[in-house]
Amino acid sequence: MTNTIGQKLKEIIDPITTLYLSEAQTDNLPFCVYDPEYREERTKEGIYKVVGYITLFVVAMTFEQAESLMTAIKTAINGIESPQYNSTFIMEDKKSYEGVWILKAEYNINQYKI
Amino acid sequence: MEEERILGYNCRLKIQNKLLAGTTQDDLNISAVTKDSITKDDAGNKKSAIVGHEVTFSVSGIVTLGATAGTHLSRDEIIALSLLTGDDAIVGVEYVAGNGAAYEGDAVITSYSEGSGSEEEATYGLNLKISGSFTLKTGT
Repeated sequence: MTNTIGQKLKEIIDPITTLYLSEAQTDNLPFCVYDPEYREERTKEGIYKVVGYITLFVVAMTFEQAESLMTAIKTAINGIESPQYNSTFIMEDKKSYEGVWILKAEYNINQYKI
Repeated sequence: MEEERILGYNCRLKIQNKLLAGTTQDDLNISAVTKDSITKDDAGNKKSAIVGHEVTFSVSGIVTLGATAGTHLSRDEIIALSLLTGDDAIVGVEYVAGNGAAYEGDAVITSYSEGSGSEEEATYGLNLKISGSFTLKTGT
């Protein structure tokens, strides 16, 4: 079973705003960065689930833009509910740093063997 | 013979010659049934004689629907077996640990339980007790 959670996030978030892994490869706002942590869970038949602990950061010039993008990203993540993926929202945080808005959201995203 | 250690996933219980789908744990327990005796000549030291054994299994796992037909028992088949009564409730079991010998016998399912927290996979627990003898399977 291959972990495809990162690919799935790229697929659903890129149309909203460019998604980067761990570090933005641009200075152009807005963008989204995610930090993943993964672990595998097994039955005696092998891996049946990949558990992803995902922290997302939306960075934008205004709060309105950041909030709008984060809302769209949350809707997209909710939309991955299927036999292969499910998600649980954990917490969010909003802060401004030197005039740039950074909205953070943490999710638990599971991928199942199908 | 070289010592061989095996990982737990190699230890498997089969019911009616099928594995249980989604299994995460199989536990075998063999308890001696003893008869204790004491006479004045024992000077207070109790003697025990083994008159039989109680052999039980505990299995736990992830509730799985639509398991591989023919080789695995899925949730609904396990529940159906758990609800049988009388002679119908006696099931053949086989237990093997890696490349070690297999043991077999007849058993009854003494309990089945499910847990279903809202944010995790549903889990099950199954307990069986050997009815009659539990013996080395010939040819293993």
